[in-house]
Amino acid sequence: MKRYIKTTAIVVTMATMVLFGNGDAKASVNAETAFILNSFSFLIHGLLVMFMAAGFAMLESGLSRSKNTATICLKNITLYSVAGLMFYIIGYSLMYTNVEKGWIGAFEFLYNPAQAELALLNTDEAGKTAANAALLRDSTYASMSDWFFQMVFVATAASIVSGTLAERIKVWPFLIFVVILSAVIYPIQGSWVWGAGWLSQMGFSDFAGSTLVHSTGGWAALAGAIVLGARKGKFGPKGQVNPMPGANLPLATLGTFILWFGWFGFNGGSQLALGSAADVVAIAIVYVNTNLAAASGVVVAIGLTQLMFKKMDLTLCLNSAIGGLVAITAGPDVQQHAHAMLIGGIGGALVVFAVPLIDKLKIDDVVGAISAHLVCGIWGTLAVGIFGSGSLVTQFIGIIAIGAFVFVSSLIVWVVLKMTIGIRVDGEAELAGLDKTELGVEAYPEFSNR
Amino acid sequence: MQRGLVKISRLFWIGDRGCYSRSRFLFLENNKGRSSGMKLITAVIKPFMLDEVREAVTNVGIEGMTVSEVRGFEHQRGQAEIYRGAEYTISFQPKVKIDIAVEDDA
Repeated sequence: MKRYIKTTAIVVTMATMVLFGNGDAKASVNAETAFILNSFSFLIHGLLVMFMAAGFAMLESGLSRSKNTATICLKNITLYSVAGLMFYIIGYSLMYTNVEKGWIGAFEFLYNPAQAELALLNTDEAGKTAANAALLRDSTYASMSDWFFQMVFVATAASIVSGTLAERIKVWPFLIFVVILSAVIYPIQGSWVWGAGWLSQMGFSDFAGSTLVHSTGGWAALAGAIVLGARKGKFGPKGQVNPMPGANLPLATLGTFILWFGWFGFNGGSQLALGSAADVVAIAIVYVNTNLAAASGVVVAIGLTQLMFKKMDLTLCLNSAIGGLVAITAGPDVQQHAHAMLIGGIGGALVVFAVPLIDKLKIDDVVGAISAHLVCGIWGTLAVGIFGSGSLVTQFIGIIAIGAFVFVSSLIVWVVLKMTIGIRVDGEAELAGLDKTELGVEAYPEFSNR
Repeated sequence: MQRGLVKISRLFWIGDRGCYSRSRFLFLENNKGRSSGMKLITAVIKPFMLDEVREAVTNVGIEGMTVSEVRGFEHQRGQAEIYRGAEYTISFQPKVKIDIAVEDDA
């Protein structure tokens, strides 16, 4: 038996040498294979991120009261759609076309496949080889695969806003805000870094979007929560906090798991390539760091809530999983996995402290999005300056610049919306539930007794 | 039927285990109508005691009961819970109400 294995090993080794030369030749894939793999990575990772929209819908449905569930669901599917349309119509060009170290991209409407790609599709059989070569000379992935991957990120930012403002905001003004966020605010700040604008020139580093996606959503949500005000009865006259427990904690848990699942696409795909062994090694590291950070967030939260409140808190654990994920998003490529655990664990702890603190400030954040996405987004971006390759000062400048831009522009939009069409349902409608007044339907008609 | 409704407020204990202070159920109402010859016994109990109560009353020969899900509070005025680091009180606890019609001399 042993001898048989030995013989087989020799045969295999010889065959390998025959097939691939004597071993020192580079085994890298050719340009077309790399093109295919890079595009595949964008598409399949984009699909994972797309599913995060479902995660947000379930998390938000679970953490709000059942009289508002249908409205939450409607908001989530429409915001995903609106954000995707606006990013196609104008957002992508503003973010990625001709930014050239500047502040904003090109005002070009409708983003379409590159000329070389269309030429390849439409050429006859004789011209295929030349068209193929021409395409591979200029690009390393299908242009629309990149569009798809970037589109699902803007939808994530918009989802974050939805959760914070749940249970009291009118649907139409919210959608108008999503239009502006996904068409203008998000692409402009995104162009500063991922569009190769001024911040990226300074060396600001945000691998998958702790600041660009999560803090941006968080700042917009914070501005909205301040202008909108708290839900009726959330804060008592003597400053006490009146919890309004979510309707469905299994659904919130499912939503969190879906987000965790989608996050592998969010961070893994942000390697932006799959065409070499180095890319695959990097993506594998990113996957492991992403998981370690989320897991650390949960474990820290369960311990902290037991110590602080004498009871383990499920919904804070869910938020802390997200907090850990957001924290690692700026630097999931750190090569020390222990650092990922530390970054995620601190993210989880920040959520446990930030949720009651934000309550104390009388800011009503229904699902804890500001704590998980904004606070941990800031922490994760700073962590790149501490553990990663970035400079702490540059990271700080980026956080402040993007934070100021997104917060102020969102605040202006919310105030204008409030003064014109109004953003809040009237008091009676809020008590009856938005499902009845905004949609005329109930999410659970067979359990409508309360 | 409604005439002569009398509150008797009598504590009724079932079983013999120590925890039965929690399973106390109150006889709140009792129909002593002159002509009907029936009593309506109403009890409000904790939901998880329902099966045990059913077994106890069938053991003494009761043949039917009506059960409703209700909510209420008693001397501890609701129960303290904690959600996302903030305490709150559930002002009405779920309870089960039992109605049993029995012969007047039962």
